Amino acid sequence: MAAAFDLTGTVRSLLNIEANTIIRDNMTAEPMPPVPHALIDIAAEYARVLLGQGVDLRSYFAVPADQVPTTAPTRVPNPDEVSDLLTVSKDTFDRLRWAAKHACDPKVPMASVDRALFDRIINNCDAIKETFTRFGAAMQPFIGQNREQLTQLHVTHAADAIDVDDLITIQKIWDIGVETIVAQTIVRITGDVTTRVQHALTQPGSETLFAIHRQTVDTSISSWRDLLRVVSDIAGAAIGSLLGRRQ
Amino acid sequence: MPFGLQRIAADVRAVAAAWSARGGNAPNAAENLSTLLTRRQLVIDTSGPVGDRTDIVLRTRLRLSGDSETDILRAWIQATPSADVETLCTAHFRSVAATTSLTPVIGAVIRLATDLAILMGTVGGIVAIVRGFLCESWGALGPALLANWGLAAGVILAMTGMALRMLLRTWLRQKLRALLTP
Repeated sequence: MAAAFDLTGTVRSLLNIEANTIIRDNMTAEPMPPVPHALIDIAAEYARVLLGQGVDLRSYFAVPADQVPTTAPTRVPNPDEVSDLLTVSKDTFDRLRWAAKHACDPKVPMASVDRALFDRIINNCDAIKETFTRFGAAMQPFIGQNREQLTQLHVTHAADAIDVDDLITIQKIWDIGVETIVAQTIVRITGDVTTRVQHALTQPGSETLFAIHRQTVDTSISSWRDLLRVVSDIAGAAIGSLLGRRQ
Repeated sequence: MPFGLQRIAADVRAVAAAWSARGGNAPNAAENLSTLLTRRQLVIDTSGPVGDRTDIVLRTRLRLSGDSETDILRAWIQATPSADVETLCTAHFRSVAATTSLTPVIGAVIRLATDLAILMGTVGGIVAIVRGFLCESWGALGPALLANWGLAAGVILAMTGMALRMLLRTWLRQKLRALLTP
């Protein structure tokens, strides 16, 4: 069930936009599951990346919570799976965040693409930890549950009755996952535009990808302008004076 | 034409164009906007040939936050000639544009609804005044105005339309002030 529409949050989020172009190995028509399952999906993907780098998450999850920031995880050749340890909790994302932080230490040699991915894991874990502070009663029955325990409960989209901004954040983190963002453009309402492209895209033959990214940015800006215009039409003079009357 | 009527005429033209087959489909615009507001995103998929099967090869997500993502299937972009990729991309982004192009019509519909309420109320009131004047002469005009249901309905409708717009604007201004307050 969708939560009520929050105009203030929506307008605030329209102050800047981000257009991403992503290359995926597979695409399904599967929509995001209810929030508790989506959070476990995200944790499982991040854990998979860390395990792939040889991070021993199982022993890291046994470290006392207050020592997590200062304890670097050990690395082993074939680390054990940790799916049973991943729960819908701030603690899970805190441990994943610090494991990623230690794993991408500047002294550790790592490809720039992997380093960007670890940075994303750190930032997204922080964003998710923040959402836990705002979860209401609808989410409480699922806090602290792992995947197996969640399957015993009847989890519906009623659990999605959380803050709109938080739902958009979780949806975006779930959608992007650990896929590689080949190009990213950020447009701010002040007019600042920042574009980041993956090194591979600077090679000859990547013109098609650039063209797709350009169209993604055009679409994003057009959609942004339309959304602002609808809000402006409704709000009349108030928004008009905020955005200026120039057409 | 007075400015107010010009704006109403422009809004009517915009809604009519959106409703026509050429301009698109206004109910779809409303549905898309509703999906954007309730599900926080619109997803537009395009399928294409991948080896011997057809699969989703391009997906664009337009989020309520204004953000967008385009996902490209690696197997498709690596194996498909550039010209074919460009053709399918053009078709995909045309679909994306069609999905969002009618969103501004919603603003015109909102303005029209309140304008028409005011207009209907005003016309109803004028008709009732003229009827009262013709039937009752000047002396009885005052009581006739107060007792006449047609006039009362007109005045109430006009006042409701104006009050509705004022309330909407006041509410939105409060929201915006709250937003802009550090």
